[in-house]
Amino acid sequence: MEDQLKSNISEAIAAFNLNRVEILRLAFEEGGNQAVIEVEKEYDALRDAYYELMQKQLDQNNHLFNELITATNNEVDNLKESVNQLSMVNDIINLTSAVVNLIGRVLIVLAI
Amino acid sequence: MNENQYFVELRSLQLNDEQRKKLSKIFKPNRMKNAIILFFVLLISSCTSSKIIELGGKAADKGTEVSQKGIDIYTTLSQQSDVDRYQQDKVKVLTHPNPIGMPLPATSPKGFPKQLSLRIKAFQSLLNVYKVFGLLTDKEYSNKTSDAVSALRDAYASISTLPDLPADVSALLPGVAGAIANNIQARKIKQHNLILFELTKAYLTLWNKEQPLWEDYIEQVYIRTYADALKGDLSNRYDPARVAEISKEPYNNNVIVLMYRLKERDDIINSSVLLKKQLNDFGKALSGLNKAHSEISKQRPDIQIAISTINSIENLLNQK
Repeated sequence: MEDQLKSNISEAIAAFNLNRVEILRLAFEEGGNQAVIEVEKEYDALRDAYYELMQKQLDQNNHLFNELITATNNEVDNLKESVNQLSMVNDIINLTSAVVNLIGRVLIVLAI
Repeated sequence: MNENQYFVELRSLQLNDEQRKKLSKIFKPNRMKNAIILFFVLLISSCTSSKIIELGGKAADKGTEVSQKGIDIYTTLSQQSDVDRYQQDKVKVLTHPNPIGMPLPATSPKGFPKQLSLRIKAFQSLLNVYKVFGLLTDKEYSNKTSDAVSALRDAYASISTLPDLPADVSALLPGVAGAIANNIQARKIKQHNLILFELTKAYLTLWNKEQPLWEDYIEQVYIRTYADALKGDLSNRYDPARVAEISKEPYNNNVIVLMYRLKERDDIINSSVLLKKQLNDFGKALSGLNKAHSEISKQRPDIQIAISTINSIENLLNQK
């Protein structure tokens, strides 16, 4: 329904523009500058309708994009957690080395 | 070391029965054999893991580029509002039957700022995902583990009061640790790759759903409301002498304006074609990214398919 309406408006816009010079000339001859302004107002209303329909079509997907943003941000957090887990293994090994080194020094100091 | 050699070496140690029994339990030749087998199994699976890590890294790079391209595409679409406003004002002046008496046109800008900012935000989130995924695919991770284990082994060995590690075990330790780290990393990459597959599928579905709308919008901005509006008899709006100044074409005044307008029309059409091509290439790149994730998710990913898919994304993103 919306698609059809938008398609009809698009056709009307294209038809107007293809004959724009002639339509505006006729309007000017009939009613001067004021008539040209009126015709252009009508045309702008058609353009506005096109944009409103397109906005509406895009808005229908907005909630999906919001859900996608939430899911994507959750995955960012999960990935950070995984990266931390991986780093933690190396950190633990490094810490263990430091502890073993410390024990070694203590043993040397105590001359055991 | 074979079993016989092992027992000869074991007998050569001056141990009492109880000590020998304990040591035999710990260093049974079967255990040694199993450890070596385990090492080779780890080594083989580590090769596969390395491939997964490498492919994951490439996917992360391309994912970052595709996400950035998505942001660029939506930014370009948001700029069309100003382009459209200027073009509509220009059309109003050029097509007015009496431009001297007309007021200065002021077309109100029409666009989709709210809708586009939401979509830019979505691709910004996707970009963030790939940046962190890139950290997960760091190739140096297993080397860092090997280095850390080497340091641990050396620290242990430096304490003379502690019993020495068997030489074989000591030599294998960093490599085994590196291989284990490789496997853990590859497993995590696989897990997240599967999620990225689902995420890119959702992004692609939404993109495919909206691409015709954006193409129609470009058609509206460049063709229906601009190129078509300039098709009428407007030759008297142009000064042939001024056109001749800027044109290098060898035409006389009768045709030079028409030739100029022809070029102007072609430029408008080319702008529209170029924008639509960018949309189309982006859709294909997003689809390629999804396909790459799909391949990496498989139990036995085909490395060649994954690499050629990733390369095809690069080609699409580099095309103008």
